[in-house]
Amino acid sequence: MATMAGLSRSQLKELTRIVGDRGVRTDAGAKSAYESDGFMLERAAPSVVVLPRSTQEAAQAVRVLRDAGLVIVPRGAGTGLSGGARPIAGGAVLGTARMREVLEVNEVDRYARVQAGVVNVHLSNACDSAGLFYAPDPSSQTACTIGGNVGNNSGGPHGFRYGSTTRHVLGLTLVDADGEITELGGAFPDPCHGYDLIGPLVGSEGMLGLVTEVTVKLLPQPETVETLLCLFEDLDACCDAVSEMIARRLEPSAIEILDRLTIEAVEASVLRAGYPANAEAVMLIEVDGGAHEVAATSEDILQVAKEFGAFDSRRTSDPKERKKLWAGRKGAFGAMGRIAPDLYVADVVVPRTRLREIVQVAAEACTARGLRLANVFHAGDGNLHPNISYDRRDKEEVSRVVEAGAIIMQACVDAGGSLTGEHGVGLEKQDEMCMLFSNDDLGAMKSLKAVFDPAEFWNPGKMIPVRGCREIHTKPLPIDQGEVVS
Amino acid sequence: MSPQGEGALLHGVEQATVELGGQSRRVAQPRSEDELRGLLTHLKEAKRRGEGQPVAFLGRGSSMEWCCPSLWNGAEPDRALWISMESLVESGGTGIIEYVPGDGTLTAQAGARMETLRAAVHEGGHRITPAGSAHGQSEGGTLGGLLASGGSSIDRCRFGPTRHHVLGMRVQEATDRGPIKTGGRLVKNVTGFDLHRLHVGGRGTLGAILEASLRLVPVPEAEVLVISKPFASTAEATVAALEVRAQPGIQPRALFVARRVVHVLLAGRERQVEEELSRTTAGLDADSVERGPHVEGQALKAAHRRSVVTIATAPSKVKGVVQGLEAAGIGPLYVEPDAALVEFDEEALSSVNADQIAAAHGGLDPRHAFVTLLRAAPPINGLRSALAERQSPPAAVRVWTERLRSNCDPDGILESADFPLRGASNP
Repeated sequence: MATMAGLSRSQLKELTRIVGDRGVRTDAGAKSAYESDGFMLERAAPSVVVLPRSTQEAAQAVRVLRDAGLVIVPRGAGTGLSGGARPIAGGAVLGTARMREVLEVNEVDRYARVQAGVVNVHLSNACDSAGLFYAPDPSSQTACTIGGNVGNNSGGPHGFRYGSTTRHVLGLTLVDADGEITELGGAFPDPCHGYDLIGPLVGSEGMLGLVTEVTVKLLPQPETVETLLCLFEDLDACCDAVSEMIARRLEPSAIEILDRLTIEAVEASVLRAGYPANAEAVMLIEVDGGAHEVAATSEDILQVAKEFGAFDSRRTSDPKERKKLWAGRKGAFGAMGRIAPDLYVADVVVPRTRLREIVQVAAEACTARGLRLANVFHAGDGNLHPNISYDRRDKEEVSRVVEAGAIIMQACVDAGGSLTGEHGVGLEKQDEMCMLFSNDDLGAMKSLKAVFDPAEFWNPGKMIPVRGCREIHTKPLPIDQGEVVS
Repeated sequence: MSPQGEGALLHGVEQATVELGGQSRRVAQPRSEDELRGLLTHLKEAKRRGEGQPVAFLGRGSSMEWCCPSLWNGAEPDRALWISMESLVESGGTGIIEYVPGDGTLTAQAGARMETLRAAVHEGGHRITPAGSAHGQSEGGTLGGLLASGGSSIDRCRFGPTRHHVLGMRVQEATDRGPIKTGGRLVKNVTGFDLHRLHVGGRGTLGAILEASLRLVPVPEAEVLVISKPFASTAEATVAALEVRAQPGIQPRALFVARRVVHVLLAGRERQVEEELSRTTAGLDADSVERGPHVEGQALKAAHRRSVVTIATAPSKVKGVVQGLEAAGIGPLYVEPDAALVEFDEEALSSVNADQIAAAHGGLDPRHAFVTLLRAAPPINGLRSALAERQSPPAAVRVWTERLRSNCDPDGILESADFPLRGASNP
């Protein structure tokens, strides 16, 4: 006898036997907690939430869920901003919240093997005493998980020098739709058997299987780290300075920009970082490496900043000061809660020679629609985050936000950019895939999904548009629903 | 590649007999993507009629010996059809589609010659990684050939493997689809699946790479190559190289052992390089220290080899692998301690027989050493079946691989006897 869509009492009992009482949640509170990720406008509750503690438990649970005919949405901490980790309608959420063990840190071979639910910052803490670090550092690193980072190919400020997650994954343990466990890669440096299957699995948004363990590359901690803060009276000049730093082939580890509204929000919050109130924009830069390399690069960066109108700058290697400066940047999205009840966090990428142009497009799109725009972004990577404040209860305002977001996205694509630099496509940008890809391109992506998941068992209905691109191109702009998060 | 004669049109595509690798080979030379697609369609139809022939994409042939040795060295070279990707580059053109110095990215046609691309980006202050061709072979190939062969070069010590620098591609599969785009030209981008990663190292078995975009690296301010005095054995040299790797404050761009000599290439800001040089030579007995922009080329020359075998292991296991091979009389060896690769060429096998090689192979722990045969050589040919048995891919990988192959090449016109490895139970 069925207790819920697709799951019989005996199957529920079996799931409980596998993962324990705390690992199966069917109550309204749990379902509510898992009905959305960071993309909160659209919600749908799962039929069941399953939280295994190990790969073996996950594999057994997958078999039960498959037999029950439930599709699975893999989920880390749910910090994603594209709706990728929420159900579309029912099904199961298989979360890694209880898979939090760092299984091995190998100092000589410079890798770590972790369960997928390990929180990003906990991995860095675990390898700190070995003089090593894990480079990808999303702003949500105190909450997001390594498995989630793999799913979204997450970046972070230091991705400028060290690259996104895909450059740091050596191996994966994958549970497939049959509940079979497969090890891919490992501590070996190269794909051995044939095609580089890890490549497309990273960033696949949970659509190809469940990643339960990850082997990641660790890097030696740099000898010296300096954080620079350059203050500008003009956001455009700040953007131009970044383009010039790239053009001069300077190699800091991170280049971030915060505009005035973001500075105000940060300084008014508990994360107050000491960003000056008289700046229209601040550039936060980190330089790491050998002492001489850091000194020379910092000097060059400050010189470029000065040439482009920076009216003041700071430079520190003191760990406490550096931490404070970065706390402001990493907490910027949270701090913006002070500006308005809801925030649309756009995530787009442009060639680094076109930063100023797109920042201007975003400003004009928002000004013309009476919207407040705050910018905080990974300028060194060309990864912009125009953040538009709004109140979701105001439907008319929501429609203006959606309109501005579409204009920004189209401008990025027209400038040779892309839809997402680190948040993923999920549900949020599914239709917009047609701005960038042809039906043939999307057909090839569907084929890849069919390779790993012919039964459409894993996170169905995400990323790849369900309708054809021609149909999507002719749809009117939605006015009663927004692509918004809070 | 030297054309010997022009032949008749093959399904509307010009065909020539070309001297390549000491053999006369039939090479189809499509002049446009439409011609290429038309040719693939005809080849598929022929295969369906039972008139199929072995087919492979061709850059300039520099990596064919290990990308598809069965076809390259096969007994019937006349049967195989090679499809040139170089002919898609406009006559007299560079094949460069877009080089944006201010963004540090390059997009070029697959048939573009690597030496042309390297020269073009050097003018803008950039270099392409990998620094040289795969497995230390002489430069002279094409971008598509380099990527399809999947090898990396000495600078992987600093920048990682080649695949990490490929931002996107356009690819023509052997399906009814037109060219597909994957990734983009941006240094950061997570829109859609990274299909291009399957084609890096895919040996052209999933389709033809038409274009690729690369992330470039800046030309360094200063470069120094430290060459040690020869050690008594490769194992001793490997230990010395591992010590350089472990020393804080040294970030080599390249670190390898060739012919019992440790090579350390340092690059970056001038004062930093001098500091790292001082730390390196404090622990390594240097025979020479060379400075200047030419030293990367010098290092590539020192790393030049025609490896027949590569063994991938972990840095902590490199020394043991090297000791085992040397004890078996195999050498000289080429070693990259950071990438944990040990390679050797035919010369290294000159004083051993097949039984000794089999014994040395048997001494390797399969959990920590993955052996790949790069090209045919009599003393090691007997290892193929043993490798297939010991290094069989997981069952799921075989299934996914077969599905991939059938999705991208449903008629099997690009099927290769050499790649991917199928394992003992699925030869």
